[in-house]
Amino acid sequence: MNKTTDLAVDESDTPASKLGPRAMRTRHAILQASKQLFLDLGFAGTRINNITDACGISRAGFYTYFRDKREIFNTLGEQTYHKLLELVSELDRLPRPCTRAHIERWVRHYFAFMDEHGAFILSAQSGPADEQTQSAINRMQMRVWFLLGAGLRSRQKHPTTAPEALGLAALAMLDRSWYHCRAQPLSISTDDVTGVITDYFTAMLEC
Amino acid sequence: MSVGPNSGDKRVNYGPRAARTRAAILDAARELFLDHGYAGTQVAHITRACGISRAGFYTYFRDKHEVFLLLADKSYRAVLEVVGRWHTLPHSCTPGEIAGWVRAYFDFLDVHGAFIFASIQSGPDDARLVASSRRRQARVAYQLGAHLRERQARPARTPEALGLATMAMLDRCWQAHHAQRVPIEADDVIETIAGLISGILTAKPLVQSK
Repeated sequence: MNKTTDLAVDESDTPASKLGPRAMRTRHAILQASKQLFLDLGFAGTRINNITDACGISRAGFYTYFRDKREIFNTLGEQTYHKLLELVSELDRLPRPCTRAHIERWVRHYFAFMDEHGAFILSAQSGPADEQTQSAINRMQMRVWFLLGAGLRSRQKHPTTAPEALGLAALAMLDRSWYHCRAQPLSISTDDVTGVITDYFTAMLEC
Repeated sequence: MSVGPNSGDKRVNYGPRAARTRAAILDAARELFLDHGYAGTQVAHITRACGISRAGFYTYFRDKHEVFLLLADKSYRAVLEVVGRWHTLPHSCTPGEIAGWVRAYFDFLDVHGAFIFASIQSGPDDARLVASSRRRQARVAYQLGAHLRERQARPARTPEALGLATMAMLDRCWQAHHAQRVPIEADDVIETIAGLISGILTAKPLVQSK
């Protein structure tokens, strides 16, 4: 759980902690704009120009805060990973046995998390081209799948064999359903979709 | 359900050699769209990849847009066929039978998945095409959901939501496994998915606990 630093950016290395409020706002704007651009254009397809255009700053302005595109990707990755681990432990803390209503609330929290971080997650899934980043992403994903799968499995009456496969399938359903509700909407009601996902989880846990 | 201008105005009686050339163009284009995106692929790339002349290309296709549409048509027909295989499964099916279907769906993605996922991000910038592709996805979700719902002890309120969540799980699991090559056994993934589908089919109606 503590080995989360594979893709982490050491914030003491960057001046983030010493930034004034205006600089913090700019830095935040760069991160927000990049998130959306990574989703729309992919990591490889996003240029620094796209980012500076989107937040109305100069190229020099960009390089005040970030070395390159990769550093943005890593910063977003770290933020997202910590939020994901929080969500996994939130599920672990639900009462045993839990009710359908508990699960439904958690699924809604997950969708709210995706509203904030989904753009980045999806762009990470389609992957930045270089192998080093990709393998760091894969390691973090495996860890989340395993933890989530193990948590779900501990509540199953008939535990499934492979916790990491269970975690993968559960997150797959959540991530990509969110994508079809929000990013590429298929005009299927979000409430109906979160309802079905809750049904899936409820059936899986036989509660 | 057809997308945009179709090639229906052309004669479809190709000889074996012409059919081979057409197939070669489609295969090459599928790879190129995947590697370079739609915008980054030129007709010249396609002709070079299959060793034909520009004139050769234009004998069969008006432009790369037409090639893209044809590839999209093929993958749409293929997914409808796989989803339709639920017809051949018994009404109360075992996790093993469901796993067989999941395998067939993954086989479909092995051929068409890369194109489908790449075209979402880097397909033609064409609003009509995007709208049509979403309509098709919604239709596939509906059909899959209807097959599953018919077998549910407690039918879902909306088949399209059931189909959507199920397809989401399948697509993303395949993508993680095949494109990202995560170290999880394919059999474990397939069995887990089949177990989850089986679970939602057999879940008993429950007394709502608030």
